[in-house]
Amino acid sequence: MQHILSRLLIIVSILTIAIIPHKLYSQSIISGRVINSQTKKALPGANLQILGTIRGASADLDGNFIIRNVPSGKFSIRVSMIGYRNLTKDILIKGKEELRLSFELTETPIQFDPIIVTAGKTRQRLDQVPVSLSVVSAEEIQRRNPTDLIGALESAPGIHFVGNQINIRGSSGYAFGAGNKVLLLLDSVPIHASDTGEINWDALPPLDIEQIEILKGAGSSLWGAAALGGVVNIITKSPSLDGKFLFSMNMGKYDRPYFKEWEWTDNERLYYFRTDLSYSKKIGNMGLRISAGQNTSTGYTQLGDFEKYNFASKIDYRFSNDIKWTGFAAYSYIDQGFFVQWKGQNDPYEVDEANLNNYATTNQLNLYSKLALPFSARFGINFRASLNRTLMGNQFGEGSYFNPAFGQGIEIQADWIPLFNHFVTFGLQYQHDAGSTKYFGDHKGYFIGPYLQNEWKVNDNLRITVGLRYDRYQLIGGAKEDLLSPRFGINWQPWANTNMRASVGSGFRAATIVERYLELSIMNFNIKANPDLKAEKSWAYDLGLRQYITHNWNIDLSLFDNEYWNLIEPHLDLIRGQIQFRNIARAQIRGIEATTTLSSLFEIFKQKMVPNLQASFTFIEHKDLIWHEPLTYRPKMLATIKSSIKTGAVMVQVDYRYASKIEAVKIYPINDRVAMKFLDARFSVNVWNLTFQIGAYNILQYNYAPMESNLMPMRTFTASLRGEF
Amino acid sequence: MQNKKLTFIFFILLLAIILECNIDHGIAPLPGKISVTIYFRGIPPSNTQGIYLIVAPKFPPHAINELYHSPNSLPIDKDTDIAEMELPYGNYDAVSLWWYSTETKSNIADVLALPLDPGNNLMPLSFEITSQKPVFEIELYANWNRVDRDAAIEGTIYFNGPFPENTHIIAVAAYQYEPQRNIHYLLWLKSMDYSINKNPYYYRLPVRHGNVNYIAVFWLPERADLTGFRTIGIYKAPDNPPQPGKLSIPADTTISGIDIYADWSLINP
Repeated sequence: MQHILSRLLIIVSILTIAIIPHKLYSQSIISGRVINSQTKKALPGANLQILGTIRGASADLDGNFIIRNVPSGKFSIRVSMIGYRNLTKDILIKGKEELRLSFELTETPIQFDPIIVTAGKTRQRLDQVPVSLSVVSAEEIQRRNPTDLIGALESAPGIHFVGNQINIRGSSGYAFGAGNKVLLLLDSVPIHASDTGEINWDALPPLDIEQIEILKGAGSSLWGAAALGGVVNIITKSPSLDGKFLFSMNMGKYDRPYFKEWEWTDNERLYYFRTDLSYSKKIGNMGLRISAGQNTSTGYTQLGDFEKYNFASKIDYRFSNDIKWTGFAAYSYIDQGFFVQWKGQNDPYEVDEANLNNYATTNQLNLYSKLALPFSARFGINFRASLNRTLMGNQFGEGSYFNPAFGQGIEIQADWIPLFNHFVTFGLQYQHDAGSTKYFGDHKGYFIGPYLQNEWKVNDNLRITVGLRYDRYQLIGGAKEDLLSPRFGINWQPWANTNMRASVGSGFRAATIVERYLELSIMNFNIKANPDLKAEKSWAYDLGLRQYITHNWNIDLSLFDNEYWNLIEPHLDLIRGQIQFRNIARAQIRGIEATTTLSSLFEIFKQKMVPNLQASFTFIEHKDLIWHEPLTYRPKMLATIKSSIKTGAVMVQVDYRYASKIEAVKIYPINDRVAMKFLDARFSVNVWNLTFQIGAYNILQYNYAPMESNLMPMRTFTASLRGEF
Repeated sequence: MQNKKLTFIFFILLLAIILECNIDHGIAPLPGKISVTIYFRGIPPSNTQGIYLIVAPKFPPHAINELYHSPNSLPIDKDTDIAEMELPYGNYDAVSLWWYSTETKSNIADVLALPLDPGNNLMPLSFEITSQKPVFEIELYANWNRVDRDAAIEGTIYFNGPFPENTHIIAVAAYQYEPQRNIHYLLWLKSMDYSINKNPYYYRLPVRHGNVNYIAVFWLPERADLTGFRTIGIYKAPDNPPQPGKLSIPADTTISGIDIYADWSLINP
């Protein structure tokens, strides 16, 4: 069946490409310029969107833009650019005309309501969506200077990492490297490993990221499988208009352990070093971005050492009539030790001598190709095709028993505006996954899912979203499951400074090949297959309020309730000493999240000071409703405070991250468990096109283990140099 | 004015963070330890994977992951060995030495040494670790013969109905004597097979030669702790059916036909 569908999609794609140029017809043209309101300098790359249509454009090197084929009518045109406040103007187009507009954008230290795409598979303003969503901007990533994507995400509101597994409001827990209840997208294309469902946080360098969008709660009505507990969408930067070379060098030096008896080696030699290079340029209608990175570390524990390399390339080409093709390729190579558990609480940075050869290499390739075909101002089609190839080898010294896992995906999505106040998104997604190792045999499965969503703008203050997706999951030669994922949402702006949102939606995730079939012995535990695992399902309820106290200070409150059926969690058989993934018949995760963001501007001794503050608090109540006990590897409270003060070229940042003690664990409940309390500080200065930064992570030498027998890094001193030419 | 207020809030928050963070440093080394001198008797069986020092804060333990467990096997090629394990301050109900086989995973039949309370032989020896006395020293006597199984019992277990849905474990176990108390289930246990998964089930229990006076089938529901095993059938004496059958097994011998009839009504009387 999947072959027939694949062929059908290819035929439809070719036919569409063939007929599109003839279908487009000339209408009005809007042109103009976007500049900085203070400096009056051009703002190349500023983004323009005619609301209520799929028409838009980007400003060129001189800040000029042209939007062609604009139909007649009354519209709003919105201009956005990172680091500037969004600006919206009303326009009236009568017949065929040429309209010239000028936009002056004002700088803002914090982007309060950026444009996002994850909530509705289309461009929307953050404060106009019906769901809870956080954004990590490129500026913030640059300020935090992380060495991987975990470092970019870990301080976002409601986020907590347990090992490499991301928890959005307590969604994932910890599954020992198998299965992830959060869908990871790269430019809206899934990139998780096809066999394990795991996320490779080293897939691309932080330097290439435009922004990261974190959708909180189930998102399967648009995104399908795996979007059970949320979606993380990494939006990569587009090629620069002029040739731009970026580089970043980060080095970190691990301090001695806080307790002298924990020293296991000469700590003077423990460090990491990361280098990234990126170049991008537009040549005519073609844009190109290439990047390469290397990350080497001795680790701070035995088996903590690694070498990582990644290469990424993004090419786009704009044909006549606004047809746009984008191609992306990312390759990463990782050779790293596997620290499964410490030798003992008095030797927490060492492993048992028998496990000193636990090294593994991973190769991952992610490719996607996208084609955007605007048929008219009110109708467009997007094609996406993707391929993920993951190869793990030398797992735990037993030789290369892994074959590559392949994931292939195709999607057709149409955006249609049948009436000026209805935005309809519909499409069909197909995903084929295959994995093969000696540990779980050869397995293949596929999803196919049509979806439909309508965003109805009832009036200027009220938006109603209704959506439905049907998915068929078929494990070839095995189980078949049919899943319906409806969604309903409201966004209401009763007053100018107040936004209310409410949504209800469902999510699901079918068990990965590894969760069903893996049979493996690691140390004293056997992992046992469970081919009968059912797909886990959820209903997510979210009620939110966003209030602007002033134009640069807002508060966001959210009440959430996620109801789960057949939640897949690792189960430890305490008699046989074996781990097996099983369904928890009913579970619930609910709570409240509050975030406040403020930015200010004042002068001290005629020196302009810009303080920024984002503080968030998340309370999570989670329980297994059958056995009335807390779910494992989830804290009850999360809090983050991110603060900075900038004056001239100098910036000081202080971050604090807190997570209450993990409520319950699987393997060693008798191990000491403590809350997470990390304090980080950074100092940076800009000179010419260079930014120097020094910092310290975990300043207070706090020893935290998110899962048993695994300590997080001790205090780490960092230094970096970043340049842009 | 408003900007000054915001800046004030900002610095107060920063100060609060720094003060709050300075309270502790999270996980710390364990302050106490147990030091065990082990005297071995006999020679280790060829199927020995290793031996591990186990300390139980509570006895009987609810689950095996509530036990402190040495990370590595202790040496098995010595007559005497000294092993240490770091522990937090507190009371501990038992210390023992467990044997792991290369053929099967650890199970509760494989206790190699378990010292008893000299004042109460129905309880294991308990001890305390405090800041005043951070090190507890003890001697353990490990008899390799206990786990050197040179004979076997085999037979078929018949169940009078399907397994309950909440079944976690069904096990068959052979005892030197019929257990009367919790501790006897550990001390007098000669062998156990907890992999029963069908009806009827053929079993083969390797045992040390000598007397086996009690063979029983146990059922453990899901989520129950180690004290939750329920007896659902015993091997009955052929000539005196209500009584447990007793066997005397020579070395290098397998006794067959030790069939057991398990009755589910015993868990739902």
